[in-house]
Amino acid sequence: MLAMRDPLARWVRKAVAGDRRAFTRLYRELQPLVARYVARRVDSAADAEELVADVFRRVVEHLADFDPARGSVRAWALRIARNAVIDHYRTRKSAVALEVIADGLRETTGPLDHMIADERTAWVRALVAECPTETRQLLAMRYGDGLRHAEIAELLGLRESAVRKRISRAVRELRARSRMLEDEQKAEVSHAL
Amino acid sequence: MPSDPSTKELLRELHAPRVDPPPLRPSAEQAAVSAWAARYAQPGGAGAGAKETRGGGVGLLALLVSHRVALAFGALMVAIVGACVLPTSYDIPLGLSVEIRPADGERLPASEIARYVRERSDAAEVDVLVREQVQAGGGEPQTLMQIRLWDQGLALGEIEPELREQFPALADAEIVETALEGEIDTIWARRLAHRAFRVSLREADLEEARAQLLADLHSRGFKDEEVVVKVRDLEDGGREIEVEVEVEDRSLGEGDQAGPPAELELDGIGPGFD
Repeated sequence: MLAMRDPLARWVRKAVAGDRRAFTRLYRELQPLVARYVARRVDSAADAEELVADVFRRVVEHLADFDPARGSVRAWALRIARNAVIDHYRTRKSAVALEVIADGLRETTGPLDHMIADERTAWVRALVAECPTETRQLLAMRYGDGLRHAEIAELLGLRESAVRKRISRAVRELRARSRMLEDEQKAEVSHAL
Repeated sequence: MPSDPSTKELLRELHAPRVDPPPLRPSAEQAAVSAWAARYAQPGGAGAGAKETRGGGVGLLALLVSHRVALAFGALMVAIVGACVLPTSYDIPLGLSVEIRPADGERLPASEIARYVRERSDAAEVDVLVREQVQAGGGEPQTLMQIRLWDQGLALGEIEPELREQFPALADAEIVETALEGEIDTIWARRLAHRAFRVSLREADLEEARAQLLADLHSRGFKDEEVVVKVRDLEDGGREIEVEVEVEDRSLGEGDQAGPPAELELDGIGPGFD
C-alpha cells in the first residue's frame, strides 16, 4: 500500500499561510538534499555554505509560487538549486560549461588526482566516462545526488519507468563490462605466468 | 574486480561530493526562518513564533513585522536579531506524543493502534515508529511504539484509557502521553524513510547484530542493495535498530515491461504496519 501524496506540499502551503513550524520542518527536510546537490558542484566548503543559504533565500522568495500540480517539492527545490549553481558560476565568469556543472557531470578530479585515485573507483570511472552523456547524467543524479527515480524523471521530463529502466540497464552493462575486464586481466596474468 | 552487488557502491563512491555537504546548523536554519518570517509571518499568529519564549527577541521580531519595515531592510534586521537573540526552539503546543511499551510477552497490534489513534485524534499528520531495543545484559528485546500526532484534537490524557479499553493487549502496557512542544527531532522529519522490523537480536556484538538482521531481511526477500541497516548501542546500554528499505524493480529485463513502483513512500501508517 503506497502513499502517493507529497507531504512536503502541505508544509509549503502551511508555511505560506504563516506557520513557522511548517517552514522549519520543510527546511530540515530539504536542507540535506540541497546541501548534497550543491556540494557535488562547487569547489569549497565556503562556496557550498554560501550557495545553500542562497538556495533557501530563493526558496523563501518563491514559496508562494509552488504549484503541487506541477511536481514535487523536492524536485522544485532542486530546480532552484540548479539555477543558483548556474548563477554562481556565471557571476564568476567561469570558463566551464554551465550545463555540465549544473548536471553534476564535471570531472571530480584533476590529472594528478587521477594518478593517485583509489584503484577501486578507477575502473568504474573509466567505464562511466565512456557512457553517453544522458546515461552519465542519470547515474550522477541517482548515485551522486541520491535522487529517487521519480524525482529524476520529474527533473528531466521523463517517465519514471524510463528512468528506472535506463539506470538499471546502465548498471547491468557496467557490471558486464567489468567482468569482461576482469576476465581479460586474468587471461593476461595467466599468459605472463 | 569488485563483486556484483558493489557496483552501486562504487558508483556512489565515484559520485561522492567534492566537498562535505554543509550540515544542518542552527544559525543557517535561523537565517532561513528569519527570511521566511519577514515575508510570511503574521503578527500574533503561530507563524510569528513563540508567544512566550526566552529573551525579547520574538517581541522585537513581531514589532519589525507589524511595522512593515521595507522587506530587504526588515529581513536584514530580523536576521541579525535572530542570530543574536532568538532561541532554536519554541514552546508552542503542537501535538501529542503517545508512547506505548507493552507488557512482557504481549504483542502490539501496531497498525490497528495507529489507525485507531489517527481516527480518534483527527490528526492532520501522524508519525509512527516502532523500535526494538535490546537491553544491556541481554533478555528479550523491548518493543516501544511511538506515535506523534500533529494538528490533532485530543486532550492530554484522553486517549490512554480508550486504548486500554479498545486493545486488551494494552491492559498492562505502559502508556505515556506527552504534549509536544518545541522543535522536532530530525529523525521524525525522516520518518518516511524508516521502517522497523520485529527481529530478535541474540548477538551482543554490533556487527554480528547487523549481520543477523540482514540475514533476517534476506529471508524475507530483500537484497543487500535494497536495505540499509543501522544498529547502534545507546549510552544506557540499550541498542537501537534503524532500517531503510528501497525496493528495486526486479522485473527489468531485455523485453521488460513497465514494473510496479519500486520505491516505497511510507506514510505514517503504511506497509510496515499492514
